[in-house]
Amino acid sequence: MNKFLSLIFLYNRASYKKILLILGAIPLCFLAIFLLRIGNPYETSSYMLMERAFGGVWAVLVLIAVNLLGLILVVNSLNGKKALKAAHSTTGYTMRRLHLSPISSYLTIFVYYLAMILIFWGAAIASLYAIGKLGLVMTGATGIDTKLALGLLRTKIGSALIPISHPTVIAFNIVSVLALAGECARSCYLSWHNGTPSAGVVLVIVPMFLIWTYTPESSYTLIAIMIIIIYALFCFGDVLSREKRPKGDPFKVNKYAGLMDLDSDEFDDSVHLAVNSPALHSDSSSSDTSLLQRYGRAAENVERKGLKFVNPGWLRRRFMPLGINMEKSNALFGGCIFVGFAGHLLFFGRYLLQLNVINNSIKGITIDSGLKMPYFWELQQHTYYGYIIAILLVLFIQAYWNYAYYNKETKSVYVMKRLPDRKEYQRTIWISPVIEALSIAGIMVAHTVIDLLMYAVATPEIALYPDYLSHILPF
Amino acid sequence: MIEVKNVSKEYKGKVALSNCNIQIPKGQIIGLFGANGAGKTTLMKCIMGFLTFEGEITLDGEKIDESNIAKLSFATGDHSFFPSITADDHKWFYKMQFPTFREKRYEALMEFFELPTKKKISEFSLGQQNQFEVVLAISQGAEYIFMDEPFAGNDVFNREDFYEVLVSVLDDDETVIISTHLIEEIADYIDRAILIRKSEIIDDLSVKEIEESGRTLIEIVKEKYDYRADRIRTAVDQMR
Repeated sequence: MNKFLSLIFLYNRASYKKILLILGAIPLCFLAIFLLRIGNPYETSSYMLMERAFGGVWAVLVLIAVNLLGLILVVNSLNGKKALKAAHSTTGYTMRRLHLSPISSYLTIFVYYLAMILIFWGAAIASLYAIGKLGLVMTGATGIDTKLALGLLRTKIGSALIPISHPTVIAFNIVSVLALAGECARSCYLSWHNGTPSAGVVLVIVPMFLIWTYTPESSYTLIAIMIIIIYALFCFGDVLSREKRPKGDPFKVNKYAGLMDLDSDEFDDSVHLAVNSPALHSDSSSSDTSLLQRYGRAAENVERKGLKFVNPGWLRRRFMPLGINMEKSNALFGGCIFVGFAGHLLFFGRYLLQLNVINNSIKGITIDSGLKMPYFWELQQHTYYGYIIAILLVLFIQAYWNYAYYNKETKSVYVMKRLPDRKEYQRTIWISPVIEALSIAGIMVAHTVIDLLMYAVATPEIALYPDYLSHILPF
Repeated sequence: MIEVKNVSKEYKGKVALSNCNIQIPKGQIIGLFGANGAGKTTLMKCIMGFLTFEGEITLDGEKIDESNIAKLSFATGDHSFFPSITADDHKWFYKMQFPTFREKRYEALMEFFELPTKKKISEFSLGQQNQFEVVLAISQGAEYIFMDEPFAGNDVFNREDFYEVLVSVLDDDETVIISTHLIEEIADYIDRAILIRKSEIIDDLSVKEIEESGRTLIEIVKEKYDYRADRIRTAVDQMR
């Protein structure tokens, strides 16, 4: 038992303050939103009473955000750069002395994360109940008992978060939490193996956010469940397969030359890799191409002379820090585009729903009186949140990564700050995130144009308002 | 000449440098000595402009900024290179960024230390990484080369090689300021020794002054730092 506890403590070092902070932030955020939104609940319907007692829908969104932030923070605190560095130098050796197999350590961390996630969820539920009850008391609803306060959890959005009424969402939440814990453990496992930490946590958290926020129809939730299950199985298979890879394979030696592989019973000493063998020369194929070409610096002067074509991909690479992990940046960029795109799909849902109603109402050349396709902007409302979040995320996270690369991952800041061209340092921190943010904004515009074309072309003319073109924008 | 005038630096209320004054002319190899936390690295970082400070630091009478920063180079035990790119790529980067980059010297040093040019720096051994860090600093074409404990992890033969190469390869007007704990090793190669203790410069000795004192550099350092040789014996006796 001590072995397993030691394993957890090793991973958990220095993170408890952050975890406590987040646990404290959940009820505080709720309270703040609640106090801002409180009104007289008796002037409204019972549903609104519940919503107001919750602090409104915004409080629920804050709850989701804080919950997810907390989960990400736990992951980061355990797999952050500092921990990762330590895992290479110290923790791995200590782990080996514990005599735990990689699979059992993976499962231990899995159980630990599962417990952590459930604690967060429990804190969220407790917050909902406490704030709900507090709200009822503050508005003078004396005699409101615990049952009613608990009943507040049965609102539409509340039931998505705390599944006590909807079987599909119950299944979704169970699958998500298991997959999330598995992904967190896999991330630890990979970083311990000196590999690349898993980005799959994002792949589970994003569907959770979308399902919780939009509470879509059961069919979509089922699809999300299937996708998450398949991905989780694939990832667990990945962990197992890494343990069964042939030892001494020269093409794997460099990639997974982690501390775990140094175990005498894991490492095949009969296989030696010559110091200058091709396997070590990952860049040998490009030996004739200089950094100027490979990192987008070469054509700078040429481009400046005749700026015929601006290639955003080239520009982005040109202004990335030298040697930064582009795969990680690409994953962030792609993930952010996905978040924006997925959020904007709400328009299609609304539009297709409305179109279906209209198509069913058309009889010959007539339509049920009063039935019209809503104005374009009405259908577009609130569909940009995903893109806005994506733009902000990519801008600040990539900029932070660029900064951290210079200052924390490496100490190349000592070179960058000594360059005669001192703006190069700031340029390579900020320009690539700005390019990425502008690209997402461009995708958002293109997406909106496609929406508009679909709206104008696919909607029966009879169902369009005569002045629909003047209501494309909100002003 | 670099002039450090009344420079002080505090980290969150803790004094790291206190009223330091030194002059660093061209053409010297200067040893910067002091215990851990004495302020050696802080002094170097202040000169390079990495840290804010009170006081004034000038290079040839001018404030150090983008117009003259290329005259300074810096090799640190923390390593300032980009680990995931090759040595060749670094060469191209330095050539592009520093107009005075000395390619011939770079090539010669890389060959001398037998450093691979097409391998990522992260795949170098620690000793090779230290060597590469120093090679870059020496090849940048700077007039003042700062080195902050550049050989932590290198073996003694390696270090000897480096000292020999350093004194041979430098031009007369190039200055090296090297911070190290390997006082005895470096004593024969330096022109001047600056001693820092508890954030203050406590002595600044030329080789001539050391010779005239009739003592070795390490003896002077031990005296300045109140080194008590009997301390170990006392501690061991107590432990028994």
